[in-house]
Amino acid sequence: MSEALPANRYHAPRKVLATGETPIQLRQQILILHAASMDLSAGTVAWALFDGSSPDDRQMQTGDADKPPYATVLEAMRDGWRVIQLPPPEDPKSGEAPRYLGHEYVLERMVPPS
Amino acid sequence: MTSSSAPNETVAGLNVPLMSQFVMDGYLEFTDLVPEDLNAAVHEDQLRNPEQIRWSPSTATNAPNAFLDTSAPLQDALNLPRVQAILASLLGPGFVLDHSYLHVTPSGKRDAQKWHVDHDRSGRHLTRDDLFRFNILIAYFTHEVPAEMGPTLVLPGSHVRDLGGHDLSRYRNIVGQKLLAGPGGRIAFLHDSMWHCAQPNLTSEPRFMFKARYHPTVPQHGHFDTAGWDSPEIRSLFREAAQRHPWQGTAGDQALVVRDAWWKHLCRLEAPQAGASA
Repeated sequence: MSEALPANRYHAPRKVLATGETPIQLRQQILILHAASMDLSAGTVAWALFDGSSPDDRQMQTGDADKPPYATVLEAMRDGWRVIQLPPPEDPKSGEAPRYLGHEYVLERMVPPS
Repeated sequence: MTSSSAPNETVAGLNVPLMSQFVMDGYLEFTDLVPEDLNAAVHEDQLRNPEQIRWSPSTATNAPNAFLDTSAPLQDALNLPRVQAILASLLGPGFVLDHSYLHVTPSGKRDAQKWHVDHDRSGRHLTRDDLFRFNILIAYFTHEVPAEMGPTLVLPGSHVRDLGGHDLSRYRNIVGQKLLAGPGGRIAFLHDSMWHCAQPNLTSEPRFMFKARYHPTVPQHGHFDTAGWDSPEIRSLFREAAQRHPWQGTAGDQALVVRDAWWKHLCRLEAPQAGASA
């Protein structure tokens, strides 16, 4: 016998559990990819992973990799990452210095705790 | 790069090849400024000095120049004519020492520092206020620092970004980031807007890096040997600068315009109108 969990958008995942089954509490991973241009198939120029499934001492650190995990945003999508932020178009003013890294795509996936 | 490999360097200070490299990348690194015996004496002082005169983010009593004040060999190294000449090329005559610290990354420290620009850039806008006025940070490594020992990580080209403080703390890895790893006796001269961070030390020895910040007291142009500032090689270098740092992406064109204006200012020329290029 199984029963549906009450619908609650703050509790993920919603699934039908078998009696005695322990619900899996998924954790969010955020992957930030900076692309060389607006194009989702443009090369990755910077990246950062914030892993809600792992403790502090297993997080990505500055300088710990020279090669991006995905060559493009599109490649990450093919691997199951969901894009949750598309960067707005940039409108630089001529003669002014650029500021933050541009073309910032935010991706997520939900995984079990490690 | 190192001064020993650069052609046409003048003994007195910087020339166009070196200064243009500084404008492009935001730093210059020299391996041959400090005599070996003097460098060894500085390193001995670093090993001998007590913890309380080292810089630590968790120590409330950090005293600027505490190590410099106690190390005669270090004072001698900073006063070497070539060191002074390079600083004068970048800052002009009459530059002043703002502060210095002996940074130590202890053996076994596994946490990396976040990307940052040193504090006193915070809240100031590069283009409007001080694109052409910059400070110099020197990073002096007395001993060999391999990659696993935690050399300072820098991002070449980041000095023309208009950011300060810890606005960068969400960033982790960037194409083109560079570890200042290398032999002992090196001094790197960094533009103070350069993005940088300390790295983990996975060795059994402490990593020392002496940092000092110098301020200019005069407008910063024409203080180096400008012969050849408009040569075909220099024109080519600046023309292709948008592709020099792939991490800039499409903002490379924006940075190119800023660098062109800065170069002409450094060479005592008028800055171009916005949108123009060299």
